[in-house]
Amino acid sequence: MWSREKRLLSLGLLAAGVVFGVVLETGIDPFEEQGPAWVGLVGGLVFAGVAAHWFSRRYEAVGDVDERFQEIERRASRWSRGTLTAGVGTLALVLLLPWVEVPVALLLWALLVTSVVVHELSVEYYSRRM
Amino acid sequence: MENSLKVWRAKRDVAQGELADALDVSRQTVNAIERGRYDPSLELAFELADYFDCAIEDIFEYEGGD
Repeated sequence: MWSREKRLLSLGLLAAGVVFGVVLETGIDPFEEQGPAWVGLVGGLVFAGVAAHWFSRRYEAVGDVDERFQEIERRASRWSRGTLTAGVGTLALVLLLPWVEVPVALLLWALLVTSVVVHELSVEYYSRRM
Repeated sequence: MENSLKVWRAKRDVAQGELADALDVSRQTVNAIERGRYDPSLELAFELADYFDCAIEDIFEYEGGD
């Protein structure tokens, strides 16, 4: 399906954004004492966000995205956003506990990947239901 | 909400794909409406009625809250 190919392409771009973030992080790392994982993460996220936005605009321009597809995307995004918010919120709460040490960067990456997976699964679920 | 889209389509001998192209939606959307899995927007409902040259109520039937 045409739109499915584009979605896969969007996911590829997201992966490229993640790789970009990792490369950026690796590139800057030698110059800093503390690994600037945040810079890499934010850079990757911004890149992925811009790419995803650009593709969503192209979807709409072509017209293959009809109201049902948008509704499916809306519902899937709600689940994905909820997952990400709950995860980040939980992580923030855990970080408030001074005696607990967690690999923050790793968990943030895991949350990011999880939210993408949740989004894709939700799209499949609602596509079958609607 | 129930609808008789399939009947109208059969009456006019229009394929799902043709109707989808005419309304600028995907064939899956037309199929989902026919199966009652998706309730179209008011705009799309008007477009459907316009396409078949009938009233919205002729295609869609609101079952009501109570």
